Amino acid sequence: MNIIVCVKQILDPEIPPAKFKLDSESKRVVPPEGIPPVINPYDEQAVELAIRLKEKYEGKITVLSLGSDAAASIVKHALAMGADDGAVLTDKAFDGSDSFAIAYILTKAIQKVGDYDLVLCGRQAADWDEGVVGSIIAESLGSPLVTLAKEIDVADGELKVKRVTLAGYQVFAVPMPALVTVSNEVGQPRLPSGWGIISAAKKEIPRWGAGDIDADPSQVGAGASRRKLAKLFIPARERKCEIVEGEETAEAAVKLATRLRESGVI
Amino acid sequence: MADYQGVLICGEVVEGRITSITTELLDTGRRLCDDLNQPLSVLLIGQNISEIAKEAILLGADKVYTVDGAPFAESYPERYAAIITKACQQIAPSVILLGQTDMGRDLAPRLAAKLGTTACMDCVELAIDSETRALLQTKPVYGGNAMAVWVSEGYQPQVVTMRPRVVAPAEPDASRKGEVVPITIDVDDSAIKGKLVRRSRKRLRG
Repeated sequence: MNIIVCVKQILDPEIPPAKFKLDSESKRVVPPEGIPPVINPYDEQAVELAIRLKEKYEGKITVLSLGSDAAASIVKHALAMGADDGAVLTDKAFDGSDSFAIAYILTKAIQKVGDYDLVLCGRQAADWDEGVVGSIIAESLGSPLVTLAKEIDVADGELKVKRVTLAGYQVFAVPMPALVTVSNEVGQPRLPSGWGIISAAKKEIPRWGAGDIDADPSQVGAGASRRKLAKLFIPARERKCEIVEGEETAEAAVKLATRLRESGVI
Repeated sequence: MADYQGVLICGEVVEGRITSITTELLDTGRRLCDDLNQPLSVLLIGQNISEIAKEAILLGADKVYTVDGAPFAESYPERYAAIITKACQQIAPSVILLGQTDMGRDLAPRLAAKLGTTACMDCVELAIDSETRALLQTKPVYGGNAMAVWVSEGYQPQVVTMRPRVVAPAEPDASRKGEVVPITIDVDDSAIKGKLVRRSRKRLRG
């Protein structure tokens, strides 16, 4: 079972809010000093799911990352975890791409890799928090799509995908090749082994530009954007603390629950 | 070139009732349509929903389109998306509103891709720019550390999902009048690959 996983390098989402800085003129987040970028956590979980499938069903895992040249480090991280091959998609022509252009670039790259049974994407990127790229890729490829998966199995030549919902789950049967977006309920991604890290460090990660994936210039970059960012700001934060009292813990708990209900939180 | 008008809410009906997120979308949709002076419609897919459709009118809809079919939780999303896409092409709204729910999260990107338009997910505020009349879509980014305001570059309809419990639900107004329009949507099932096999039926209490 051959799997392609799309991974994105992002600013560390765990940085403390106090270190989070914006340049509202250029509408960009200022990368925090001394804190390296990381693999999008949901994409790392997609790599983890791919490796579990490879362990069960054998096959090859190819990792693709659209970003700067530095994205090679997260491709290597995925290789160290257990993926087989990877490439970085990088080109000035790709700069300023919106979700649709990003999906277009990844679709072309997936088609260049060819011969796959499954494409996995994290459910959203923990920077812009959109959660659309995977679905748009599926639509472009004409693949069946299941979102927010926590488990995948193969049965009767089809994928059985368990999707997470508010009330529990749904299980879908889809033919391959398919695209599945992966949710955090997949669980902790494995740590790369020492051997994995060493062998990944030695690997050459190819860089693919617009010409390598036969990209139509009108579909990529800032010029192809379907929307524009009018404003980026840090919301004012107000702190109010209300202490809920009660003679017994249970009484206080009931009062708290009522209070939360009244304010529409639950 | 279709003339895109009004706001269309993709409503959710669960166990014979309009969900609270749908009533919140009605509140937001009504406000936007009053500002734009355009109609507010709701699309409901379910079985025996004509009474629920009337309820949506009291909550602010000018028109409610009803389609006879299984609700999202019991459907294969691709099939459900095919139905809604066709309905949207017929109705030609300027804005398509969904909740950031199990249904909205899944459907909105599909709809945007199928309709060749743009999507903005998990909005906490929608407003009409007083000068440009563009829809300003505000949403949290970077895990809530920042807020982004997005504007479509002329792509229509604009597909938007709203975060639940950010606005108050619409209040019913018994004097409101509107129209319930049953529509039939044909879907080519041979083109749809995949199916729902089973689902959990955990009931959320409270």
